[in-house]
Amino acid sequence: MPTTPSAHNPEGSPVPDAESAGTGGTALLGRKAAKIDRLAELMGPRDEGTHGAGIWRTAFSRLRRSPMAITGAIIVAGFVVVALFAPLLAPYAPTAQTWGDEVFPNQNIFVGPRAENWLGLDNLGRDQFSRMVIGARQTLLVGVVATLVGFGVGALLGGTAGAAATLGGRWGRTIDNAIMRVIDMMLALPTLLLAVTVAALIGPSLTTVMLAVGIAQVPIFARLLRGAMISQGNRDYVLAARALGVRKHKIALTHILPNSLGPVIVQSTLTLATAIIDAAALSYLGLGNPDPSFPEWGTMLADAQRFLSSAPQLAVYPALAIIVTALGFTLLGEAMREALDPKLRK
Amino acid sequence: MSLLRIEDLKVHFPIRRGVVFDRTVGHVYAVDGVSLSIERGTTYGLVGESGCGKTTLGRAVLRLVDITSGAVVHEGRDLASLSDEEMRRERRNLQMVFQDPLGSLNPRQNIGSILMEGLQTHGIGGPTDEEAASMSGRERRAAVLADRRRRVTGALERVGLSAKALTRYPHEFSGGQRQRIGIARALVLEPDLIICDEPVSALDVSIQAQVLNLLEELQGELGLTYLVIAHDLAVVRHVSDTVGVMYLGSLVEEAPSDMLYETPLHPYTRSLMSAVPVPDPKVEDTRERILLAGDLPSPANPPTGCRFHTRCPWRQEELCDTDRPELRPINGDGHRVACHHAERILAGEIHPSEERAARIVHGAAG
Amino acid sequence: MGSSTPLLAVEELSVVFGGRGSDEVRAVDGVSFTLEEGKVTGLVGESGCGKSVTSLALMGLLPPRGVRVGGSALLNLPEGEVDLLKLSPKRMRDLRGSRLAMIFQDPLSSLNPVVPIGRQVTEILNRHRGMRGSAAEKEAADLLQRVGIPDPERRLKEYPHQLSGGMRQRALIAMAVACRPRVMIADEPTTALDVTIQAQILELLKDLVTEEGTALLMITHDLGVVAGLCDDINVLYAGRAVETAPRAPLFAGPTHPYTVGLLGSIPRLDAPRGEPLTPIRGSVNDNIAWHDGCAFAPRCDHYTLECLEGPPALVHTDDGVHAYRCVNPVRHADVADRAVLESPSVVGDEEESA
Repeated sequence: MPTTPSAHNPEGSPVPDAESAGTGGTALLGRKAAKIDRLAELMGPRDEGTHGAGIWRTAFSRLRRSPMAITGAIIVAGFVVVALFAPLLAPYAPTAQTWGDEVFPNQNIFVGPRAENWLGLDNLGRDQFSRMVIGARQTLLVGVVATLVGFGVGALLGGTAGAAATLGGRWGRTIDNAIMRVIDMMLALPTLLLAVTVAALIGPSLTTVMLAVGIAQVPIFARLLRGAMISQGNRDYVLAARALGVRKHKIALTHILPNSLGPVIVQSTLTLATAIIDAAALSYLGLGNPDPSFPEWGTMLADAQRFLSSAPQLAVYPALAIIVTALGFTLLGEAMREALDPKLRK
Repeated sequence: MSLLRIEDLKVHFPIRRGVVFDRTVGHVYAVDGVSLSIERGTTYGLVGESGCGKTTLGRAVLRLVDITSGAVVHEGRDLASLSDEEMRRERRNLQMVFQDPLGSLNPRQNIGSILMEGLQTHGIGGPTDEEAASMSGRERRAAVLADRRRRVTGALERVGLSAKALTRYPHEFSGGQRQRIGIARALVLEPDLIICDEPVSALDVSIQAQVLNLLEELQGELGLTYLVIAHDLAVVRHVSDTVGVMYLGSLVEEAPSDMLYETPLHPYTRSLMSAVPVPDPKVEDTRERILLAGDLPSPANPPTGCRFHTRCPWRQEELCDTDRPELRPINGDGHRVACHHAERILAGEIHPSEERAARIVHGAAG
Repeated sequence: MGSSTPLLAVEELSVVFGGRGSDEVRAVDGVSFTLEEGKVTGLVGESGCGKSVTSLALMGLLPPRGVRVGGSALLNLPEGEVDLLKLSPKRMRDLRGSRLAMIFQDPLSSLNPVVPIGRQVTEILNRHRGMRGSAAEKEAADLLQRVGIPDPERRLKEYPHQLSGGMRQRALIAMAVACRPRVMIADEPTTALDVTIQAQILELLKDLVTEEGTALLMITHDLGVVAGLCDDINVLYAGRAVETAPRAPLFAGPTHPYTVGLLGSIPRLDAPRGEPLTPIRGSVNDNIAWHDGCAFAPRCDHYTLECLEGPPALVHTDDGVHAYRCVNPVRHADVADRAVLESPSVVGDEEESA
């Protein structure tokens, strides 16, 4: 064999160790130095640079190049900014019937967009634009809280079931079975029906809508997290952690859970979109906030239906706003799913 | 006394069916009565084809799968009878290197955190008790951290990686480097025994040799004991002092590495050996090859008698399909074989029958 | 050898992925070889050497976009020569299965999981040989019998998941040989199988080649498999053939440092125990681009400044059968003496003119 026997060559050092060139003159040494320099030059740039790029960071850099993600992010950012700074952006008070004497719904007299009221007036002579802006705030609140409720309860149930199923042995499987049967029952109910039931139980209010929509999302999150945890639990690195002697609860929390959260986080952006639509639907059905001083897109849509033939614009604005916002969250969620998908990672 | 002794180990996985309540309808006899012992500072190689139970055996030693019956004795203690918590602590002495170098590393942990985890789990590292007595809490924590850093860097350097790797993530390394990280993870706990489950089969040929050499060097420097589990007989023979051949959940032959190659006794070992390709056309063209007929029977429904009798070209009318052969010493010198007719095969009294094998290629001269 | 016209002559095949200014990947970079009737040609190399891409290019199975294929692959058919790389997709579909067949590494994913084995075989007989009904079924059973599947009538009704790995690979081979193809490409056909099953499959392939006179292109990473099966061997590294020779001279006198390194990396069953392995250092990530010099130079123990000055040419030895792409080939008289190779008077000069 030509190479040095049993030479242990770490992979990190591509340049051969300078062997003792005892016999050679300076020419030989110079030649050797030249060839090593040349090799280093040809291989040069590859070893520097990237320093500890985690999965989230690489996913983020992929997100930045996706047109879908950028569109979604712009819509979502716009929506959030409007919602946060709503009182500053709204030119008028949303409840003030300042122009009440200009609108007569029973005579089909409405006021469309004009210089002082950008989106016109609603049926009670309130500024539609101000109501839309303030409504964004309510909608964001409903979406976020509902998603948080769904995420929190769902992740707790699903996480417990998933951890019990993967690491709990016989008892764990029983716990998992019990939790999942409950989840299955929840899943069997149509989302909207479930929400209507909750709303009917505790009466119409904003809290009702948020709770109802949130609870409807629980089984989705629970199933998703449990499935991800079980598939991660079968991976070799979990076995490796067990072989290392890591405690089970620590394996579940530091190994399985962080690796299973990807799909759940993607789902939560998608859920935000459906939560907004569901909340609008519930408000439309009259289960939302009965207090007119807090305009909400769903309620506005519901109110506008009475004047659909004479003033369709009153329905179009909130409907468009709901659609565009939901689209923004969906685009962002889909782009995140793609960025985090291991199959698309090289 | 040997470092690890396995006595009549059985691992049976229940097959469950049922809609509401799980009913056990049968068992997969993954490991079905294996006894072996591993001496300190040596390498025991376990070889067999997929489905023979070798991986399950390795995991059973660490109690990563439930042991059905039998004993795993490590330094006088039976691991099978320890409580879960005692076993968890015991794992610092018994470590494992996995087949899939990427899959066995958590993608969200950087290398530093991967290597640190074992030390943290077992509370290894830090000043001695006397030194610690004179330190404040903060000083002690700093000393512990510094000591653990030193150990982690030391282990990384031993496997041929630099401390620069600490802040990087598994996907930034090549396959061979990842396997080095897996070895460093085991090494950092300074275990007595490292179980290597197919340590090189996921790697390219040129990288395989690097890892095999590394394992050998580490054994020389640190006096490690290995249980190497692999499907590749050539790899196992290269690294092992003693080789055990598994077939369908049991050990069919065990011998010192060279002896196994010189005089394989069990028909399965002979066929396996003749099936391993040798990178030398002269050898390939001239050696005798025994091609086995059919496939491995299902471990859920293993054949009666000798597990190998359904495919054995040497099969005889008596005993083979009725009595299960014990692993018994033959010829002395640590050669054990589980075959009723081993002596007669060795003496050349029985020949493989052409009908029972798919084909026998006799070594052509020249 | 070389007297008859080759069945398939691949000349300077190149496959480039990507493009449009972004990072181009030259997966295959000028590979040439020939396939002859009744002979087995081997492509050996590690992951990333371009061996699988070569087979996909020949079968016309590369994705239609984002790939540039260059060179030629002339298939000698009774009705005349065709270039596989320039055929229309439709014509290619006709050739595949009838004249060209491919066997993949993973038999389970190459078979349709929801269709019985029998239907999958008869479909091919129907499409390419126009056989129908009971005739096709009988032929299918015969095929399974030929590839060593016992009880073929029963197996024909079974689904792929009901067969073992070895049986599936046999079924796949049965489908490949259903139309008596002239050229068969096997891409790591035994890598997913156990050794004893691998031995069965290799024996089967050997029989098919000798009995049917099929030309087989064997793609594998396993030099042991190559030693037992292939007549001519091409060792690939980073998309180029670095050494080409019939198997006897290749194993008796490997010349390229990469081939030497590969052989030194394999633990041999018949080697005395304790003989250390001599691995190649580094990994394929350490390569340099071919246009800068020899891609293997960073991992090579013999490299000199000449290795880093442009791509090394393919050098043919005097006997004309052995070729290598190396400036400082390993010569077997002085392999142990590395100092000789280092000295400037020896290095390169006579090689550069070649």
